[in-house]
Amino acid sequence: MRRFRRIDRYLLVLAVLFVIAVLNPRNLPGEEVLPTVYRQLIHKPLLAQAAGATHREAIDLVKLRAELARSQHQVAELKDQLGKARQLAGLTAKSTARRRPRPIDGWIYAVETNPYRVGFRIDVGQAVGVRSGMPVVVGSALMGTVTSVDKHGATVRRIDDPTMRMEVKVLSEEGALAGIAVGAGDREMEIRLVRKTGRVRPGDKVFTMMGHAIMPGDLFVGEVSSVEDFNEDGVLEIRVTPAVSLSSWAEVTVLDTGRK
Amino acid sequence: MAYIGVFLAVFFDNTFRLFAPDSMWMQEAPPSVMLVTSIYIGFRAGNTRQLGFAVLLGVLADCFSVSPIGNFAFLYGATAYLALRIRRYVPSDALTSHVVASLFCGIMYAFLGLLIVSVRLGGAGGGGLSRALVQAVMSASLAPFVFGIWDRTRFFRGALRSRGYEFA
Repeated sequence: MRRFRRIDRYLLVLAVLFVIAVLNPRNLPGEEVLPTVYRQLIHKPLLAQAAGATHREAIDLVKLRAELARSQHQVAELKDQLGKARQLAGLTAKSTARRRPRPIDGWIYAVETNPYRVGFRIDVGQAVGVRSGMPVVVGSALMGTVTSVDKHGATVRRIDDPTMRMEVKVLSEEGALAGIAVGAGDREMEIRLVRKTGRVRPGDKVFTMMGHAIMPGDLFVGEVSSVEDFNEDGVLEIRVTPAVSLSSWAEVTVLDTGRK
Repeated sequence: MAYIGVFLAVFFDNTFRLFAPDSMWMQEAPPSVMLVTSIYIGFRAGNTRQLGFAVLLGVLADCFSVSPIGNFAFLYGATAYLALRIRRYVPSDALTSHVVASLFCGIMYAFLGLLIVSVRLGGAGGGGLSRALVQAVMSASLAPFVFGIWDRTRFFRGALRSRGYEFA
């Protein structure tokens, strides 16, 4: 009887954990310790190996990179304040020019364990100006977007995650076609709702759309790999292969457009 | 010592994911040391209280996950509990028994994960279930090694007081 009572208690614990897993929208607050641990244990030796440097030099390099990122964040904030102050003083009209996004370099320190989700965690966070919704790129190609941020780390949802939705345009020979790209898992995206007004062919390039405040336009998403009209209803199902090899990059860049 | 074992399992699992070969299934559904360790804990636990190590393993796994807190704590805790309940039906402590039992627990783990995703998001697209099932098969193939390592290094011996098969 006692054993049954103990088993019931364990099942109760599991039930509580299930409810937490289903309802809790946020990640663990203690997660910000892990980027630091991985920076110390994995990234420094990697950097040293890549640069042919000693361990001591690698430590200095990591410190300098972190210091540079913090300084760039401070400079960006000061520029923002200066712009606001100038506007208040009536010195300049509100600028409508596009600002060049500020790059924030980070390392992937954890790849998603859950087979139902596709993403990773990076070792840069609020301390260097990373905010939720920012695009994560490799070169000029989009890899994902930031979904949640801690002080020293951030969670990134990859573009092929099943919950990913983003506005894109397909550049075909007959011009640009707008659509909504949906993550299809297995390193692919699918674009639906593109009306059959133009011809899309395999090999056409896909870019992000302008108009989203935090996501810059014209980021390279990938190439069209196949075009089908399964239901013959005029809505094309377009499969897109992402431009970057989504798994082999250890270092990525978060783009800060400065807009909120 | 068991706490060190739990940390080592999490660390090796995550580091393997970071540097796994760039092939489709090794990246999308690599074998999970943490999953097999939670099954091992279920096999070797003397009572349900000792399954707390599997829950701890899950909480640490949540730290490396895009999923919210509680996801892996529940999944690994439930998998360990399942392993504890089915071990009386496992005929021997042979390697093939470990593989078959781990495969069964892994498949149940895949469907429990699907349950959480379905309740949270209203469904799992993008081949999630196929990835989870492939992960279960690959993890099961890893079971003899993980069981052997944990048995020989004795990280869990002090904390898990059962050899597994006398528990009824």
